[in-house]
Amino acid sequence: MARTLSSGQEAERVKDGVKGVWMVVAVLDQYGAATTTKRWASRPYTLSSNTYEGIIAEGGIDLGMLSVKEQGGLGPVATATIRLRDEDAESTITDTHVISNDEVYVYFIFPTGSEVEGDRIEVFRGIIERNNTRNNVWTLRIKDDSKAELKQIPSKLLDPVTYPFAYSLGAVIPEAFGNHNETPDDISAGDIVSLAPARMIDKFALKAIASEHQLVGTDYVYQWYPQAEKFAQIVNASITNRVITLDDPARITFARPSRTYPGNGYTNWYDCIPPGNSSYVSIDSNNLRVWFSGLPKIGTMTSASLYIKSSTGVYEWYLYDTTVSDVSPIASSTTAAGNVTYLLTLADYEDWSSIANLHLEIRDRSPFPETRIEEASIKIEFDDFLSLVEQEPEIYQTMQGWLDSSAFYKDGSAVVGGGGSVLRNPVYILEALLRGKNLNNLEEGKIDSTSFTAAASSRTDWYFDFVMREQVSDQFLDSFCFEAGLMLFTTAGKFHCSAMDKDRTPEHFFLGGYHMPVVGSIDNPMAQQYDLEIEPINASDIYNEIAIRYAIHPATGVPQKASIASGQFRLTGTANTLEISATLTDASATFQTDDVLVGEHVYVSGDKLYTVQSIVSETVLTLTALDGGAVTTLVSATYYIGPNLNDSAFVSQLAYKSVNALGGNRQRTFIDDGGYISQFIRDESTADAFKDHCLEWFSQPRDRITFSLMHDGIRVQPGDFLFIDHPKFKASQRARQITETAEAVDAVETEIDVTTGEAGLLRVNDYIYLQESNSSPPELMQISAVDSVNSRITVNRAQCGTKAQTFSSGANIYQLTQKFVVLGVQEMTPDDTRIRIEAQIVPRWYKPIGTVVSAGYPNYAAATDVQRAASGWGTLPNGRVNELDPDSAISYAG
Amino acid sequence: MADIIFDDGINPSVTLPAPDYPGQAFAFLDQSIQQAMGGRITSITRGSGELKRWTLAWQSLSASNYTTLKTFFYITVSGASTQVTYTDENSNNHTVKYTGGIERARLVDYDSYAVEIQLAEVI
Repeated sequence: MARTLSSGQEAERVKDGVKGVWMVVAVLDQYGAATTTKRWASRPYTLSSNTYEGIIAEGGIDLGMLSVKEQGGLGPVATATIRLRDEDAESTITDTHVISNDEVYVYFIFPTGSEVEGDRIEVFRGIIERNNTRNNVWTLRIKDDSKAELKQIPSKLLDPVTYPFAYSLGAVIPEAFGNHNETPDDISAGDIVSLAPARMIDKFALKAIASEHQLVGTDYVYQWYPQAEKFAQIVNASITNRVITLDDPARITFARPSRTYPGNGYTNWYDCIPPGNSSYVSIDSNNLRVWFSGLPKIGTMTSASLYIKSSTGVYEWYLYDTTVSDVSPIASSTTAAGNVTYLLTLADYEDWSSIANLHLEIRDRSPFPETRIEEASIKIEFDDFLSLVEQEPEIYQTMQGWLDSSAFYKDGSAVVGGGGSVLRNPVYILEALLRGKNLNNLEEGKIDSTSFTAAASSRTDWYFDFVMREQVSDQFLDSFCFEAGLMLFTTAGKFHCSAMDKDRTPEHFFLGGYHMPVVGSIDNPMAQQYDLEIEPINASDIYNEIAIRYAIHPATGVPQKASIASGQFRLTGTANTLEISATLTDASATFQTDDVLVGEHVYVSGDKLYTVQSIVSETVLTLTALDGGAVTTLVSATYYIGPNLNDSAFVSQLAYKSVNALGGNRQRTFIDDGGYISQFIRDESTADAFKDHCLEWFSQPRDRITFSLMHDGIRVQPGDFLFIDHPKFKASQRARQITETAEAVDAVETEIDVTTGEAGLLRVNDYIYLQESNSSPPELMQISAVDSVNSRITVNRAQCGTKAQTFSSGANIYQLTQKFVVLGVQEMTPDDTRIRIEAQIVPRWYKPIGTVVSAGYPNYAAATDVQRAASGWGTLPNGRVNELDPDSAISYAG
Repeated sequence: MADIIFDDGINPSVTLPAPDYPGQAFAFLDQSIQQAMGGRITSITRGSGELKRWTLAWQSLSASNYTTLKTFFYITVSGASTQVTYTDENSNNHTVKYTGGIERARLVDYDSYAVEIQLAEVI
């Protein structure tokens, strides 16, 4: 978020001629005595009755660049150097004070005559790393110590005093975030088991704890049996004050269908495996026949029963034991309806392995209504006394982790409102990671709540569900922020958070010819140059094969799901596509022979991405557009088909002539060990959002720019979004002149008449700027209404830090569509009053509509490339002139 | 022209004949100036006012006055260690510090020194 200045300082900021004072305040301490505050400035200065000695030497303030990571994560540590004139022996304070690790603050202020200390603008904060005196100059080396405040987390361990009977002394008590409440006995189709691991804290009293900060609710406890690769519910476990007591040996587990028995008539027989009623087998004239899986002995069996779940219809069931007969059932019913439980003879199956001899047959019966078999299983009740366990039993609990309670933070209030909720938004979780008592234990005052709140609004549809079962360092925050698409950095003693969200509203607007100082002598205009460096991203920093493997199994640690965007295709050809029938027709194709599947992706070159809705014939497919739009009618278009084909990844791989996998480990098949394994994501929508985020931000070309700003850029901070227009930018990055004012505009009116017939070229929410002359301040406006009939636009004035100006009739109106994100800021110093900015373009967010064909253009065949690009109809359906060049989408017609 | 006076406010003041080239103040504005390609010029004034440098030159200063001058700036005020009130030949007072020049004095004739000293006005 942009830095907020006091009203007096903000009034000065936008002036061309200002005064400026740089101040350094050091709070130095000595053993057992009060601290001494030293105040130095770039000139003798008094502020709020405090005297600042003007002994900062020439070149005396050297501030490093405060940066954030372009791919998200925790920003690196910044450094600074302060040099003070030492003729009056200022440095002798080191005789009496231990200045190492003492705090130093660097401020800037615009003196107004009435300024106070509260007006100071903090531009750097750090601690003294070392100091030296030489040639009458006392030099202080300052470093940002914010990372030193980050701890190994979670911090609470199983110490031998508090937990003398724990199995794993020294291990951490886990900390869980998000939802972990999908048990193996109630998961829905397509979902996966999600439980939170617990640590045994007393091996004799059989007590365990999964999180001391979970939401207290009705939860269930499970034990993982590695030898069976099975969870079993600990039936009579109790949870009091978040401590699990599991001294009752009773357990329940299930043997479920594992394969079909000859005569089975359903290909979706597996839909009766998951518990619950979200998946089912609809019984018709065919029979459902399945084997049950066997289990190794994991306890003393006390009961075994057949369980069939059916909420609809009537049926017959027959249970066979193959050691008895595959023809004569050991039990059956020809009048079943609803759920069925049938108790087996315990003596026949208490050896456990005999369960594998059972197979079940289900038949529809008269009057043959729709019948659904939702679950079929053998319920096994057994005792596990844990009497011989030498290793820590693997205990798991359903829960919702990290309750947002003010009591769980070092100080202050809950993260969200009055608290009481379970945090799943990664931004909220990040704040909890910083403030939680058992975590980094930082004061609420060290969190920039404004930026965190803004970032959270960009991540409302992202959910993180994870467990910390080992101690981690600040690198954990790096991974966390990367997966959440967040930039985290510290400035002014606070952690700031910025979301990499292309739809964010920019905080600033800068114009190359107005806000950016030139390079070259001020008194030699002929030698002046633009201070702008443009550097495309390194080829190796492009990621265009994204395979997110997520939903880690709580016990095995293996990711159970994947979300993949690949540039790889398996079929290609030339086809005609037709909007009215939503078909793709390739007379040379053999789609059925090639086993094209419903759901496979189809990328039509220059157009967009589709999924196969049906395979009509060997040569015809019906398509559904992923963007929800219609199928584009095209002739002789090249198409590509692949199971995980993605247009962005495909185009990027063609353009860059290489495949770079996220995580450096390309996944060639679903089951290999490639792909990027997420530690935090469990749900499908977040995995897809992260995949799309990676594609948007990392698969496409992106330019990094470096430039300078004058003093009015002092509000800029890392992570901020900018609108910039610069004459040296590529055409696709520049603002475009759309129309002109048709009246003189004062500094307050919000309705502006534009050239007759051209208001419709703009639309609501567009950002536009006007500038009266090259040396006058530009003003950014946002359109709130467009009146095409009267050629009038309604605007919100003075956006993004600009001030309302007056404009003559005929002033050009420029439309801005390219945003930039600030990656680094180097503040101005007395010796260099330029503010250095590193920024990178933000993925395209503006989706142009309409047509901008200008009268008098020649037809397509006769037009030049420039005219084709400008006309709109000369481009590919995706708006690009060149398919492989995202920057060629400069026609602004979709 | 009237004599000039140096006074550190503690020790006896020193009176010398007015310089042959009367004390000349050169003023500097401590300002950083930036220009944009569109013509906009901005400035940040870093000092609270003008920075002034004084140059006082004598073509023929007697040996005793030379010694008085040297003793005052070298011994009494220890060079630039102490600020001095400089009363110019027009009886205007300026707060200054000595920044050099005596070391380049030359004996140009009998009982005659050519001396040019620099002073910085303290603001």
